[in-house]
Amino acid sequence: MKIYNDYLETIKSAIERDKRGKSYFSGLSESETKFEKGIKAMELKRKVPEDKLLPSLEEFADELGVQPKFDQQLGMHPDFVHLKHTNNIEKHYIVSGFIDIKGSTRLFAKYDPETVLIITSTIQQAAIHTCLIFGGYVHRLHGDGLFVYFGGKDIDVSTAVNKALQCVSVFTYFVKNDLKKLFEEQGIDKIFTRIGIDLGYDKDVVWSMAGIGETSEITTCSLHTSLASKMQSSAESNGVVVGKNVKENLSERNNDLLSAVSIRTQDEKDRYIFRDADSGFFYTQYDFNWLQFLKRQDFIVSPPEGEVWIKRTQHRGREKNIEDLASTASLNKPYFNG
Amino acid sequence: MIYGDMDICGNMGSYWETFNIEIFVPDTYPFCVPRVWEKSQVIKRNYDFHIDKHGGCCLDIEHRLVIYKVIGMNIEEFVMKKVYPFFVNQVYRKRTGDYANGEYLHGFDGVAQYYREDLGILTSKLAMEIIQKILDNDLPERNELCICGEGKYKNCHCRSVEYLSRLPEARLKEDLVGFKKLVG
Repeated sequence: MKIYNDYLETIKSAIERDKRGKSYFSGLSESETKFEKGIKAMELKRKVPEDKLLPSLEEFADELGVQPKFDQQLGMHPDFVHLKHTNNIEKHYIVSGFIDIKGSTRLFAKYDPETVLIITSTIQQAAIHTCLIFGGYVHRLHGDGLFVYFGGKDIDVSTAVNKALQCVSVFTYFVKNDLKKLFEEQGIDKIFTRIGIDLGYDKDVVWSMAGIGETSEITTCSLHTSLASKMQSSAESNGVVVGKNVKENLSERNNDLLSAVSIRTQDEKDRYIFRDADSGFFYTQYDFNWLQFLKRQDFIVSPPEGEVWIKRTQHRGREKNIEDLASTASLNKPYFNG
Repeated sequence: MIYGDMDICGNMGSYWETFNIEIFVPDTYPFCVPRVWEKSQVIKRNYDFHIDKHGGCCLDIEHRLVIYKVIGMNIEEFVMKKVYPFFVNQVYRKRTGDYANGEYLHGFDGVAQYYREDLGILTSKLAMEIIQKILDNDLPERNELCICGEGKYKNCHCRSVEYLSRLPEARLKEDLVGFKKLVG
């Protein structure tokens, strides 16, 4: 999709510097090495500033007509800030998502910790930026992963569900394709995501302050937030698992994109992520075909070759060239039998 | 019936157009020729754009399509090789005024053009002779003189004749009638 190219470039230069570093710094004293490496990490970290998207992703945001807000604080969903330092509670729906990035531990075997830091934080920042583009809220960081919310006071349930699915589909495509390619070129075992998403309706989600004083956060107490986390561990590599409530809010045309996890695992016990036989409550988890979903989005074009591209209607400083079509167009010579 | 949007993209990732299309695949699949309609009306309904008033698209000369009835086809390959390039070529024409690889004339003139340009059968007389020999199963041996009389058959029109031999007999008979009309 090329929208993460600048993030990939940052990772790439960190990797390249690491290799150079190993040979170049081998003759230096420990203090000299540390000094140089410190500069290296700071320099590269500056390439991914905290408060703005890198140009390739910014262009994507422009295409979508959105301007991400960078004023979020962890554990402080802007629509429920009023609950901070109170004993009040509020019931309001939320879509919870757990995005786990797996495989980064193996990086330590190959690279210096500073390089690993740049790699993992760049991937994490790409995930955060993607979340912000789709109107999500990053609630908490989990190692390399994220715990995110979609939804709030001014957004309806099905739109929130849709945005959450768009976000994870775009990010998973990046990890499964662009990032994978880069790491394969470096001879690194794969890094992949596992994502769980679930929706809790108003009646099922209690917002309140958890913790004490400043050691606190505004968070949800909901079976469905807990299940999102559990579903993340049910997902396959680069897979997304969603709960039944998400299915209920997916448009009819997208219902074919869900299949019970038990179909994949061939194990009926994986059909439900939660069972309460006494009350007869059985909650189904589904594998979500995020790639097909992505291809159906208005902002995506998917030529028959199978790739997925962003539909670029704006062309910053580059003109479309009709000759880009010539080789495919030449395969056709039309006829009319009239 | 297969239907949906087909996005047209350039090699460098540029987006150009989206066509809403329908592909009708007969029950005889894979031994069939699917029909394609453009429903979005992006293409002007004009024969010069190789489309009829209902949006039926003329993807290629019939000889190259009808061969699927004999050898069978794969729908994905059909989309990649016939459908997608047709719509890319429509975008190309819209922007440049010409099709990237030219076009066939309408009606039987286009068939005669196909015989000339693609099969190397340059005259109507030779075309009729070849078709008749195929229908009569009276083809030369590979090392004999070609039907055109200009060289060894295997080095001359052999490949074109072999291709034509695979077409349904009805198609060949139709061509024979067409060429007869052309020469008067």
